[in-house]
Amino acid sequence: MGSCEIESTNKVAIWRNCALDVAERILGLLDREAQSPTYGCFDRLFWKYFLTDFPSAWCQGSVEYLMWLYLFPGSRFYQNEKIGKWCEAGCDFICNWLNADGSVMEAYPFERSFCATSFLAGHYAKAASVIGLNKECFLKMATYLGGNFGGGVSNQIAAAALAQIRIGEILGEADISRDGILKLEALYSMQDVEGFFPEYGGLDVGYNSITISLMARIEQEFPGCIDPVRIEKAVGLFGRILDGQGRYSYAKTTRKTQFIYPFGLAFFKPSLLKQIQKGLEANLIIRPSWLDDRYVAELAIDYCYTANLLVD
Amino acid sequence: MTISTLLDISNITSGRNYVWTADCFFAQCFIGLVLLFLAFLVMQNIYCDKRWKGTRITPYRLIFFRFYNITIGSFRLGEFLLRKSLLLALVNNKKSDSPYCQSSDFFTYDQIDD
Repeated sequence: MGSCEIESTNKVAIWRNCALDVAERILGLLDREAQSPTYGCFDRLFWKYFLTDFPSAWCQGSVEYLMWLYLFPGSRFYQNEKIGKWCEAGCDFICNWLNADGSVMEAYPFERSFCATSFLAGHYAKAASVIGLNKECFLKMATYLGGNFGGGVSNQIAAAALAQIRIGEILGEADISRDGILKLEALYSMQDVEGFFPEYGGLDVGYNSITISLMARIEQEFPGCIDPVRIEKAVGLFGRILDGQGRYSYAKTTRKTQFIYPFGLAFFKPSLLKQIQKGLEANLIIRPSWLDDRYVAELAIDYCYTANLLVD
Repeated sequence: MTISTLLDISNITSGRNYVWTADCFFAQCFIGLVLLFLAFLVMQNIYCDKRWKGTRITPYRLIFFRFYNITIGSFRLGEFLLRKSLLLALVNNKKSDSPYCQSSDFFTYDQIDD
């Protein structure tokens, strides 16, 4: 049994504790030595073990997790100066490793990854609320996202929309925000009659929960941006798919994703969150600490959003 | 690409009719080495990116390492030499003389409490 269950005394605590459960692990992935040339890098296989030739940008999404650590009242990391500095170092590392066109590399050197750029830009834009912004870096990333499109992968388009709307707001650039809204329109046009947003041509429940979570972040920060009819249809599908403990059959989904992002469901349909919480308490659904280094921070960040929503 | 194909290309481009001789073989080897060197320069140019500056796996080391891996390193002796010398030279931490894959640099609370 994980510590997140033992310590939980109310509905907020379980989400918060599950999110904080992986703090030491994620901090251990970071190169925290200020003198190091890879200071701020979260890819331990690169900076520590030299097992890869370049740092995968995907790992840098942990900067937003550090931001949440910095903001969570009552935790040992709350407003800790070192956490703030490491978050800043992580963001600087992102900017130093950008490709010339503002994209980032995820799987091989000089890759121009739309997926990683979309998610990373969103995380960085959120973290900027704590550590300040690098205007040039933001503009480059937003320009790349503006000129590219994620094809038929809904979660990537939703991530790009979130990043562009956030960056547009931070920089006061209406064109960037407008492009984010256009990406949302494109996302709506892809929605299936059953209500789901397709991933590689079909339904994937786990990735749908990511898409809905990203849309919930947009709606929370910029009320009125999300079409309520579309999202109701998308969330309604989860009511039919999830069992009483938040589980679902993933064997026939397009990506066989096993985890579920709770924030979108908590935001748009709180009754579904109760089901997932039952599964979490019974140790039946995947929590952040069960995931590998690639996915742990992303899910933990979503748990942070969920805990923060329940506090509000 | 076989040697006979290279010879065909030489015949076409030079307009001369080479036949298979030992001299021809060494000439083709020379051309091959020149092409390899040019490829090396291209790779070096690609990898010589300021982003890698200061990291211990520098572009030069990286190219040498990867090239060694897929050529000499694929043989048993080559791999042995790689393990005994090159790998340690590549990944040793000069600051602390620590060995490869040291289990350290994990997070502890004293790092934020001081």
